[in-house]
Amino acid sequence: MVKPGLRVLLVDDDKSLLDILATLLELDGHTVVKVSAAHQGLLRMREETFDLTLVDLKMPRTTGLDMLRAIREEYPDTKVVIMTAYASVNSTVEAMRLGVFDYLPKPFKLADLRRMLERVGEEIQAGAAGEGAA
Amino acid sequence: MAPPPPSLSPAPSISSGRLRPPRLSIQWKILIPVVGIVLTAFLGYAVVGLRTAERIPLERNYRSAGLLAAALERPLRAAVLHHDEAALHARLAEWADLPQLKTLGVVRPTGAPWVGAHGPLKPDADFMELLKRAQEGPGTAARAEGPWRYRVVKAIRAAPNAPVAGYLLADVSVADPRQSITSERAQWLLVSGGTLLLLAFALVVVVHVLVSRPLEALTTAMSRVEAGDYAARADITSGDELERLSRSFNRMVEEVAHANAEVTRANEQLLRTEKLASIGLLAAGVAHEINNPVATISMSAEGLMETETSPERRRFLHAIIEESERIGRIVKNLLGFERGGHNAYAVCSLTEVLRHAEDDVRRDANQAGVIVALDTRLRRDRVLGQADQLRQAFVNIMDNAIRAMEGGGRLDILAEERDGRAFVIFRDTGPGISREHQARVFDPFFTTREVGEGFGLGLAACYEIMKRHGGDISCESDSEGATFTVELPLSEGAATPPSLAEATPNVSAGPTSSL
Repeated sequence: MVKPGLRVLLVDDDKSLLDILATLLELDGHTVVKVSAAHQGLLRMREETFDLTLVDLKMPRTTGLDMLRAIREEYPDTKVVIMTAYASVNSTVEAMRLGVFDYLPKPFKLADLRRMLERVGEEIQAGAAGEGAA
Repeated sequence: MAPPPPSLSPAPSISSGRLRPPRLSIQWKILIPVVGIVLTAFLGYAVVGLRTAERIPLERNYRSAGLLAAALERPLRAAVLHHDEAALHARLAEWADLPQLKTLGVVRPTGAPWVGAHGPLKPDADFMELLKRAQEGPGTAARAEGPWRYRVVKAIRAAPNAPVAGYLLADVSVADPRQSITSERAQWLLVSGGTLLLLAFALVVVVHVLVSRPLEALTTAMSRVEAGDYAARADITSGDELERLSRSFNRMVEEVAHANAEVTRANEQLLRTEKLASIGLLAAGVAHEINNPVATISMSAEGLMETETSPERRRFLHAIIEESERIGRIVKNLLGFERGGHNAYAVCSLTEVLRHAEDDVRRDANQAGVIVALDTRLRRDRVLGQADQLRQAFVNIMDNAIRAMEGGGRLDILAEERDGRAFVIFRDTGPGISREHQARVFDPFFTTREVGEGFGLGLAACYEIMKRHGGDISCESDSEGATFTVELPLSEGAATPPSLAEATPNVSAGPTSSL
């Protein structure tokens, strides 16, 4: 089975982590667009569609939660995964309420990331199959 | 995020200054007026007495001069009547030496010279005048010559109405009556004044014994209390108001000591809580900054690991990944302090929490050769709390004990109910904890382990968790091991299934952490 490459929008204000994550994801065969601010990410989303937005929670100006809220309204099909270096209970609950796909507390392992991406892929496939069946 | 507890202000100081010794002791305050009164009375009496003495009537002096003259006349009378000049002279010569008598002599009824102390006395004009007055009058005449000196002329005769046989002439000095009066009064004043002074001193002694000494004892006790010695008591058994005063003072000190101990204890607790809260705040701030680079490092290493085939390089990469994970764990544990207060409370089974905690440490215990024996005798085991936090606390205690028994040993855990509260007693067979360390084991960052082996936060976290649950944790130790006793209030309610809070992604301290 050929691993379907996902189109991933990566948003993190930490440039080093952004580069490394993008590289790792690209090595796995995904298509990655990396931006370092939420508003840039939202601009890119107008231009192209993404299967997954991997966004950092705590960023200057627009936070990951704000972005999640915007994506939920405009692109309900895009899965959003929030990464955070410091998860508070409130932000976690809020993210869940907004329909976050997953929540990755930093530092996470490459295996965790891959498992999460696999699940996104599976969901997308299942969704497509469901649509096809209907 | 919990609001930071109000900053701890130092206990208000009640004392406004040390007790100074009194400027004037009470006994002197009593003595000085008494002495003053006595002296005033003394002086007043002396002055008034002397004034009175000066006003002693002159007649009395005349009379005394007359009496003296009469006293002189009588022994002379026989000799004068019998014209016995030899006897007369002898008698007069005998008196001539008396200091009170001057110009002593006897003249004829006419005033012609007759016999004197030192030969025949010829009366001068002055005497003649007095003599004339005596001849015309009752036979006696006197005149004051100066202060307390009189010139006296006295008729000498056989009987009051008999013809005059001769006249006695004499210059007489009488004693100053003031002197005798004054000395009499002075004596009286001295005696009475002395008595009063003695009484005053007696009063001083009495006041000293009855008032000053008990007050002194009370003051000493107060000074000691002021210096912080709450064991000080005023021991007064005089049976009067002072004893009552001392008793209420002692009671007050007891209450102050009690309140003080309470405040000290509360302060310590507050300080500890503040310390923990500030660790939490620090951790929250630092976590974000640390976790990002740690994530980058570990992910990079993992990325390299994918394609790396050299065993040495794989070992290096493995080390990088492992240690990055450790940093991540440390930060998570620090965050545990800050986030502990947010999870919802639910009724949970203490037995279950203990079993889970035991499961968590089993592997480490087996590795260290430690037997962990859990014995729960709780008939009621429901507590209201955060199950994950309680579990973490128990794991920390067990982990501590296991680490203390690296060469093997036994950890007995007994859970039982006492007076409606759950007690969990962790007793190990390790080397024990020294007395000085016992007081500090619950302080944050206190550790006896090697650098890198722990932060010294595990038991501090336990303390914080237990306090938050209305419980307590204490530590005892001897050479045969250490005992940690956890005390928690039991709840009446039935256990609820894991709450929503527990269902949220749990990013707090992992169960196998070591702090």
